[in-house]
Amino acid sequence: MNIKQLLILFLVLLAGTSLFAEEDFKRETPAPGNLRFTWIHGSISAKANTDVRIQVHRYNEHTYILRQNPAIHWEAPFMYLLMGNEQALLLDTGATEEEVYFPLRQVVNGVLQRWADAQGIASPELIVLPLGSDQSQTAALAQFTERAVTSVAAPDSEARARIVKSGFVDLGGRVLTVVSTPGLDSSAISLYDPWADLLFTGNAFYPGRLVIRDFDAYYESLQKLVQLTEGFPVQHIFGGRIEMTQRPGLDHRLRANYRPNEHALQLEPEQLEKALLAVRLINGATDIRILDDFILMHGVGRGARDWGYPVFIPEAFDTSNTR
Amino acid sequence: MNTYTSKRDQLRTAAGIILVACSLMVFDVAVSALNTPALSFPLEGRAEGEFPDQWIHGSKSALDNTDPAVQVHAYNEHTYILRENKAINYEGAFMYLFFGNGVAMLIDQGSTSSPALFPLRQVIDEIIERWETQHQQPQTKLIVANSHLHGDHYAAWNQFVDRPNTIMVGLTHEEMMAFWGIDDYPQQIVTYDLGGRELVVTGTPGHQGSELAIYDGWTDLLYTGDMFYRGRLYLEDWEAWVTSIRKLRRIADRNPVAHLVNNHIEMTSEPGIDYPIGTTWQPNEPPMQMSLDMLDEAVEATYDINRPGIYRYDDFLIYNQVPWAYTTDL
Repeated sequence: MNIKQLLILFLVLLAGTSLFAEEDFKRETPAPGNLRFTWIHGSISAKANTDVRIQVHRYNEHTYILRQNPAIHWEAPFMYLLMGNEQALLLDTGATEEEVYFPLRQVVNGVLQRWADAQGIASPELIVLPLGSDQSQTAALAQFTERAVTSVAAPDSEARARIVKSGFVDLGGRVLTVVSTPGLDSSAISLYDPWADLLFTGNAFYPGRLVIRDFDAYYESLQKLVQLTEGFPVQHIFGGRIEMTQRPGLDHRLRANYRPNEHALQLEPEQLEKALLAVRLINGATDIRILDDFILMHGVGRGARDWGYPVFIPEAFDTSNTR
Repeated sequence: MNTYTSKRDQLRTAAGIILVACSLMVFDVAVSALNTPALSFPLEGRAEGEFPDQWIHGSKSALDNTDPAVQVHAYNEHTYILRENKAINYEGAFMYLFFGNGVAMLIDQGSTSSPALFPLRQVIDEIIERWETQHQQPQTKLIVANSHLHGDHYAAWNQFVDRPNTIMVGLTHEEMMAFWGIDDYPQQIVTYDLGGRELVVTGTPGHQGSELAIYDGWTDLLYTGDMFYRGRLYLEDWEAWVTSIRKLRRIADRNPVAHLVNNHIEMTSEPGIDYPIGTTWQPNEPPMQMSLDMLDEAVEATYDINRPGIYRYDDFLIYNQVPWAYTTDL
């Protein structure tokens, strides 16, 4: 080979790498990510809040975490945007419908365009998949119904049922496992990403008040998730909200839109095991179990408190013995 | 003889001096009266006032709220009602400013301390300045008082500590009662003279142990603070509240009452349904003022309830010894 041939080969290779900059999403170790920062967490006066409406955090090249500003809606949910070679996947859509207050579509478009430019490809097809049917997961779904090359898998839709039934979502190289995790919400699902070793549990498991509506279903869901973490490596468990503070067992009041000292978003497989143990101990009874990183509640409302003895349940005053 | 004349002269001189002094005094009083015409607040009849059709009530996105930090409403020319914006603090607390001759009384100071976020001092200064011009009342003294000792009603108290010509009543039970002249709390009923405007003041514990109710005989408004309003009545001491509510009924029996006014709105306009705690947008609020029928309903409740718990009425909810952070969310 002379110099000229070598040069041509080099140019062909160069063009090839830029044109087909495909990530094969196969690696021995989990794709690294960065979480060394603080989430926006509201302000004393929401009216005077100067944070962005949606905080965008790049966990790694193909994984973005979005948070809604608590000054717009106190639930301040998290959303996840995952990219593969062919498709992008948006998990959950925030708690506010109006684009003027909560411009989710605009922000997602911006992130996808920037990502596509960096990859040298056209903006990928988008799948919008809420992990549950809660208001804080589905509010901005309608912002995506008119969007080009987008499929919206709303709760109770056939598209979503197909995804759950197939058990996986293939984004092109990046294949996520879908596990049905009802109990708090009958349509809840969780996704496992074997590339970055992340488990997305939405509102089925997060650092907050976990109100069990269907005890047997939730017990089974936690068992499934624990089995998954035993069979596959899990770096972080990413939920849909943060309601706990940094102080073990203490939560922020419902509808608090200023949350200094928030608990971290990510949980670890160890906490999933603790949850399973606590649920086993609740054993179907009316109970509130306060653990360091989350509060499990069964048979009471989301706003029931641990104050009083044994827990504060107004109806309990009408029975002579509460235990 | 000589001595007699001199004594008469002395008397005459003394009388002359007294006469001149008296006329000077009369002249002085007349002139001062011309400078600052005395406002009268007769107890007979009723000084009418108006409530707004709607108070500011937050917005769907608190971040995008465009209302003022404090809504100022003139109930009548000498009575102001203020409300804190719910986008600043969800409590949306009401504050009251009563004027008398040469004096203004601010009852409660909202839920936010920072003057940058909640410029209460500035708002009050502007109202007083405007009022002084309108009524030719220079040098109005401000009294900073409180209905009770909870943080959502005295947060901006600090903004007034360096204000000239201002009396800070204080944030302890002892300071409060000493100011009003109550030495037998809560049963004692005292009258307080606010520059010619007579206020009837008495202790109404139950929600908080230093709470006061104020009856203004000029407007016939009965101010019940946090112990009776359209919302969740969090009662830490049930027996005390029972006594307080029945006492309010007796005060209303002896005095004409136009409206009951208070500190919060937490109900929706649907009977028995409240906006849960922490709500920052209440588009469907009922009016703040309450009627004597509602007081009667509360009096009736004092005979029906005998254990802790949540009791629902059309216009208020009784949270008898239920912690305030407990919510009925599903």
